[in-house]
Amino acid sequence: MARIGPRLVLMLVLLLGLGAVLAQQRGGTATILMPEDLATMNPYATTALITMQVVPALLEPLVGVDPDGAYYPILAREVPTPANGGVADEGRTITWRLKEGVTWSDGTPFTSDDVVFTAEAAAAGEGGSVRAGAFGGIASITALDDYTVEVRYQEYDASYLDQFQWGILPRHATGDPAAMSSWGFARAPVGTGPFVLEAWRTGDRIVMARNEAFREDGKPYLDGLEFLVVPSEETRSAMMQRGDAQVMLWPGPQLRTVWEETPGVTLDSAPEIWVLRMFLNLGERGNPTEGQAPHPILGDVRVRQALALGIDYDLIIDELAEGRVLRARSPFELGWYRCDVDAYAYDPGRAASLLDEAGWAMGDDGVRVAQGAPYAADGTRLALDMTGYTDFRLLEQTELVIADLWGDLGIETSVRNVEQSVLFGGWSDRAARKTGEFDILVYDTGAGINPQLHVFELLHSSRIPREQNEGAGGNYARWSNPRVDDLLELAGRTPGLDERREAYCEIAEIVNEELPHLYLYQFAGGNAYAERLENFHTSTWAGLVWNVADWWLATE
Amino acid sequence: MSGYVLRRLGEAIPLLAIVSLLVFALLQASPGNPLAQLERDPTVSQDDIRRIAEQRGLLDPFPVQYLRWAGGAVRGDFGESLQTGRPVATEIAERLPNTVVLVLTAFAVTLLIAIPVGVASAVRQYSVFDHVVTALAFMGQSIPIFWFGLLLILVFYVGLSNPLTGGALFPAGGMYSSGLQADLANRLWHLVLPVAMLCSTWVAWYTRFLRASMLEVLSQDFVRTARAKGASERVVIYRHALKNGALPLITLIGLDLPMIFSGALFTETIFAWPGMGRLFYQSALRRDYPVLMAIVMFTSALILISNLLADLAYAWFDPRIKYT
Repeated sequence: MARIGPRLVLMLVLLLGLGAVLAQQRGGTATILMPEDLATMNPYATTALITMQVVPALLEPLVGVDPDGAYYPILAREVPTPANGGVADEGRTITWRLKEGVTWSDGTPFTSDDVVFTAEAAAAGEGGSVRAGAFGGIASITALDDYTVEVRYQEYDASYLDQFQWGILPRHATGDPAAMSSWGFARAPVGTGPFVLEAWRTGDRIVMARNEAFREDGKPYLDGLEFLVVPSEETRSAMMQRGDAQVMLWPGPQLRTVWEETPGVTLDSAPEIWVLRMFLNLGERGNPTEGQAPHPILGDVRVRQALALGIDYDLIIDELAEGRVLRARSPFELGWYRCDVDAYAYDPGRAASLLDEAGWAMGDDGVRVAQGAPYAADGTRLALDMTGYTDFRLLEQTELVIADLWGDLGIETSVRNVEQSVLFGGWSDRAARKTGEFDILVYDTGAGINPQLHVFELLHSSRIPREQNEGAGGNYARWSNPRVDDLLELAGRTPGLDERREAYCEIAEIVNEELPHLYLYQFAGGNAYAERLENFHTSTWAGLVWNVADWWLATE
Repeated sequence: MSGYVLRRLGEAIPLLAIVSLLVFALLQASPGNPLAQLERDPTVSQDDIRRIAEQRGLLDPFPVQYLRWAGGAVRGDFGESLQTGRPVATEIAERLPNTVVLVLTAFAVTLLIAIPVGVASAVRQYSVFDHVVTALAFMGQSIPIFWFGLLLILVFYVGLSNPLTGGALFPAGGMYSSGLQADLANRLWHLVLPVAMLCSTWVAWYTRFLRASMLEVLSQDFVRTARAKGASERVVIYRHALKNGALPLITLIGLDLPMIFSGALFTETIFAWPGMGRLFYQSALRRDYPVLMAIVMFTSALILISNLLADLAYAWFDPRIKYT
């Protein structure tokens, strides 16, 4: 009798486990609506955001990042850490131990040689890789055996865990790294992911079927995925309302009420990494040389502070964006590196007195003029232009509201938006962002789970685009602060996350004080999905299909 | 006649060369960068961007870029898309059949409706029928086409259901339902709303043109003569009057025919139709110069050819016109 108890418990546990498995129904195809098609399925040949919403269903990285910001193994057996011996030599040597028994969708075994190949192909810039820079710090990469890869870095690289975030490429199904741009793989990839590509009809749809060779038994639950390219947002939302699709990628914020009124469809929001910010040009306009003079207006920190105090953040976030965005205060808003800084609050009185103090007196026509301002000749009008990009309603409305609020303070602001391909132009076409031919830029950008490269580009003084460096770098505010330079370099060579966060938070405080950028808000977008698509979760850190193997369709 | 055609075609060649030079120069002079997407990604190094710009020949001086393009184009090689890396010919070959199906169907439907309605409207001038047609034609001309497309979706996709299946009466997007690309009936079903959207404006214009031209012709002497000779009303209208009244229609068709290549952007966008219009628009937004150039050149060539065809059709309809 005494032995029956444990057996009974065991049986119950097994039955419950079986029940849990059975609860996930197999079969069905999930239809996903997306606004544009992919240019290529090779994630090393493009940086388009849309690619990483689709391709991870086919190609997998070694480790992924879950919605809480924690790394978890995918093709790796474990996340390399100093404790498991994966991180050695003060972080300069990383040992990746890979899962065994994984095969590519064509049945070929996945081995460490594929990881080595991925690094070789990504670093081969002559073949057309857009990631050569991200692999440039690797001194050597060696397959120690079929399931162990050792990566040696020239110096410690804080983003070592993200090294293979774009997915592992199969050596046998790609081609010569020097000829990457002509690989057939770009249209017909072979991967280890839960799905395989069945058809790709350009501009129309991408059809995927279950990868029968997928390593996890019983997964994926779905038979297939169909990504439909539907450019019109109105048509996409109508298809969701009709139940003809299960997921709508990136619905616009104005559709919020549609989801509230559509039974069975929910908007799954997550904070996005994208922060809308203003880049204030601290240097003389259009003179991208070493030792350029300060900007006549924005060169004075008191004016920048007045601009920050002259923005009614609550009005913009609560009224204009109807609460669909979150207040942003610094470049470090999310995940393990989040820093709390004292946010500027709307205070037009203080803003006006700061402008008075900075030598900008109110003129007869309601626009201030310089009278003893440190960098502007007396009589200069306090006039600024603001440049964002077109086809983004909320951004445009935000600019207009701010221009209006600043107008009350005696600041004349003109909004001049341009197409994205113009705003994000390069040095070779003398884009204003690169040459500094602007007062204020307004656009959204953001750091991923590892902010180092991003903030270094934006804030380090060596990254000011100039004639001398042929426009390299993203420090468009042309801000230079030796302490921030030191802290950025420190964070870049420090493996400990706590120490790095400490450095980042000190940077956040200095940025908040000196204001090379004004942080406005962080998007809280997401995806609309049919509730019968179970296990669908939008993640801040990963693309749409990050957990697609777990999705399943409940019976209608 | 054949000498005339050859001369016209011969004249087209230098014209196309000038068009290509002008368009290439305009594209180069306009602001914007095909690598803007890379510039926006902070994880892509400036060295990578410069290398890719060099690899794609974007840093070469204008004459070098133009001559390279023109050298390829005369051999039929329009280069590779800057976005996808695939040959431009492949990009176009994938989209062109979709646009041809959409635009030709819409053309056929337009003519099938506009000719009898336009003629009947002229014959029964100021009748109730004529007033209704005129009112509808004005509506068709003045309603913004994208708004009409959305209205079609609202009524026939969201609002009305097929009583047999319970699904939507007509689909909102795409060329076929999942897995049914070889099913003709399914493809026709998907054509209905986009064709209706395109036809809404075309039918209106064609009907008005035909009505006006028929009214002019019907009052002429030769029509009265035909009637006096005892020809039936049907013969008078369709054989004598329409043959002359259709001449302005040929001009219109000649002008609209290049749409077979350039596509119908609004219709393709609203009904998720992967055609040439969307390819052109996306290429313009992303400054994909090789694709843009190829589409512009083919459209220009088609404009010249369809003008020639219209001129030849005039001669066929009106024997007084002779080309030598």
